[in-house]
Amino acid sequence: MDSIWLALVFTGLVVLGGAAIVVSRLKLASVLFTIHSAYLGTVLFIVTGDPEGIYMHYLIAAMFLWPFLWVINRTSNYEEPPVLGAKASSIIIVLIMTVSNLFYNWDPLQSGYVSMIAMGIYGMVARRDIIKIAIGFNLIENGVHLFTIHLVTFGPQTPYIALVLDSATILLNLLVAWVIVGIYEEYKSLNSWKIARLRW
Amino acid sequence: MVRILTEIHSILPLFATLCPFGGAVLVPIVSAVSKRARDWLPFVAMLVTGILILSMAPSVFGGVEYTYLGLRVTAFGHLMGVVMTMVGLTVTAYTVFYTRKLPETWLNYYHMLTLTFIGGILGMFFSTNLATIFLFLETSTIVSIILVSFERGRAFEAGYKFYMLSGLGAMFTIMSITLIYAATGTLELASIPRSLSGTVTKPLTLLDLGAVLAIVGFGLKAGLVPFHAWLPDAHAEAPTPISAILSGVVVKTGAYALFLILFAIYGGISSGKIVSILYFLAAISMLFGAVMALAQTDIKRLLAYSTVSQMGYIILGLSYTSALGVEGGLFHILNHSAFKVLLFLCAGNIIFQTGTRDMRKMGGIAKKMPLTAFSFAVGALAMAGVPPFNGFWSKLLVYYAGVEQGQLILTIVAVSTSGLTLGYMVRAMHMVFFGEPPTGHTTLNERIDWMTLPPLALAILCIVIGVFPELGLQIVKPATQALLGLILRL
Repeated sequence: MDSIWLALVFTGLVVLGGAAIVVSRLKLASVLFTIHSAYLGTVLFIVTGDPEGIYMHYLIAAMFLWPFLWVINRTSNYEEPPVLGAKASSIIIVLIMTVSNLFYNWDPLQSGYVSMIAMGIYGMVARRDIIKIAIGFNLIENGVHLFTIHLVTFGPQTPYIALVLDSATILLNLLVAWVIVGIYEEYKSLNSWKIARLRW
Repeated sequence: MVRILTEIHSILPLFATLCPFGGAVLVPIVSAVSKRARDWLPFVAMLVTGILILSMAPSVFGGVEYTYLGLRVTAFGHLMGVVMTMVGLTVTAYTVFYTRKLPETWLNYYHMLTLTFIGGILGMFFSTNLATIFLFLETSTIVSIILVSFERGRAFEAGYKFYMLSGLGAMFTIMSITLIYAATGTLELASIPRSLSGTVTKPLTLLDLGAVLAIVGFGLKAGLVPFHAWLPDAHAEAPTPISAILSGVVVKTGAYALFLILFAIYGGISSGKIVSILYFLAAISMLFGAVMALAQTDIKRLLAYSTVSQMGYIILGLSYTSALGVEGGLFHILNHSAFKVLLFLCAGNIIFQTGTRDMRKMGGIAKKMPLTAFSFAVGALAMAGVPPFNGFWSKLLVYYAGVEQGQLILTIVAVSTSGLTLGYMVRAMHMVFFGEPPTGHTTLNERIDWMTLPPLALAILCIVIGVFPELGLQIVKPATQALLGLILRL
C-alpha cells in the first residue's frame, strides 16, 4: 500500500513538471511549476523527515513565481512557437515517464528524478521561449535534488549539499528574471532562436 | 622528496577571504563621503588581501597549511591566491580610470559586485571541502553573470548564455559531489584518499562516474571545448576589467577544482580512461581555440578564443600527472594570468581610445599609443611561447612532460598550436598597430596613467619571469608537491 501511495505521489510530481513544460500560457506554466516545486518540498519532508527540503523548495517556488510573473507582465503571456507542438510534446513526456519507469522497474524515486531531468532537458532543447527554457532548467535542478536525496538518503551531510544547490538556484532565478527583461528590451522577443547576435 | 606537513590554526585565511567582502560592504559608506575614495577602495582592499596572502607565503613554502573554521590554505590554493592578488591589484587599479566611462549611478554596484566576485573566488581557493568549494564558486558565478550583463544591450545575451551553461555546469558538479560523497562518506578532499585506502574494494565505478561528471561540470567553468560556448560571448561583452578577471582567474577555478578532485580520488596516479578524456579535451581545446581565434576580427573575442586554447595547455600539463607536467601546468596558470590580463587591459585601452572592438577599423595605433603597443607585443609573444618571455618556459615544461610520457602526438599538437598562436597574434598586432590608420583616429592620445601602467607592470613581469624563470617556479614548486601528494599528512 505504501509503495502505491509513493508511486502516486511521485507520478503527481512528475506530471506537474511535465505540464509546466507543455502548456503554452506562460503564467499558467509558471504557476504549475511553482506548485510542482512546493509539492517537491512537501514530499521531501514526508520522505526524509528533514525540514530543509520543505523550507528551500517553498522558497524556490516563491522565488520562481514572483520574479517570473513580473517578467511575464512586462513581456508576453504567450509562449514563442516551440520546435514541437503541444501534442507531440505530451507524447514525448509520456514516453519519458514510461521508459524511465520501465527502466527502473517502477521505482518511484529513481524514475521520478530521471523523468524530471529528462523532461527538463527536453524543455530546454525543444522550447524556444526563454521563460520555458528557464522552467526546464529549474525542473532539472529539482530532479538533481531528488537524485542527491536518493543516493545518500542517510548521509549526515546530504542536506548540506542540497542546501547549497538550492540556495544557488534561488539566486539564479532572481537573477535570470532581470536578464530576461533586459533581453526583451533589447531584442523585443523572448525567442531564443532570435537572440543570436553574438554568434561568431 | 617527501616533506612533513604541519598545520597552523590562524585567522589569516579568514581575513584574506573576508577582506574583499568587507570592501564590498564599505563601498556605499565610503561613496557617501568621497567618490574618489570609493573608486580606490577595491584597490586598497586587494592590497590588504595581497599582503595577507603573501604573509602566509614563507610558511606555505615550508610545507605548512593554514586552517581556520572551514578554510584551509594549501600550497596549491596559495598559488591561486597569489594569481588572484596579481590580477586583482592590476585590474582594480585599472578600473579607477576605466569606470569613468560608466554612469555614476552604476559605480557603487560595479565596485561592490567586483569585490564580491573576487571574494568568492578567493574563498574557493582557500577551501578544501567540496560543498564549500561549490558554494564559493556559485557565489562568484552568480555575481559574474550580473557583471557580464553590466553594460546592458547585447551583454544581456552573453549573460543569459552564461547563466544557462554555468547553471548546467552546477548541476553536473553537484551530481559529481554527491557521487563522491556517496562513495567515500566525506566532503573533505584531504579525507578522500584516507577513506578509500581503508576499503578493500574501492567503489571506483561511482567515483569514476563522479570524476566524469566533474570533468563536464568544471570543464564548463574552465571553458574547455565542447563546453566553451559561454566563454567568447561573456569575455567579449563584459566590461574589460571583468573580462580580464574572467580570463585571468575564473577559467582557472574550473581547472583548480577539477584537479583537486581528480588527485584526491586517483592520488596523482593516472587512471587510463579519465586521462584519455582529459587528453582529448585538452588537445581539441588547444587547436579549436587557436583556429577560431584566427578567424576573429573582434579583438576581445580573439583574446577569449585564445583563452580556450591556452586552457588546453594547462589541462594537458596537469593531466600528465608527472612532476614535470604538473609543474608546467601550474606555471602556465601563473604565466597565462599575467599575459592574458595584460592583453585584455591593452585591448581595453585600445577600445577606450578608438571606440571600436573591430580590428578592421583600427591600424597605425603604435605611433599614437606606444606604451600599449609595447605591452601588447610582450603579451602576444609571451602567449605564443617565444623566448625570453614567461610563456616560453611553462610551455616548454609541458612539451618536455609530453615527451617524457611518450605522448608525441599531443606534444606535436601543442607545438603546432603555439605556431598558430603566433600567427593570430602577429595578425592582430598588424591589424591594430601597423599600417595606415583609418580616418577618425587623429585624436588618439595616450597618457602615462592608471590605464597604461597596470599592463606595463604586467609586461615587465612577463619579461622578468621569462629571464629569471626560477622566480615563478619558486611559487609553483610547493603547489606541485602538494598536488602530487608528496607531502605526508600528519
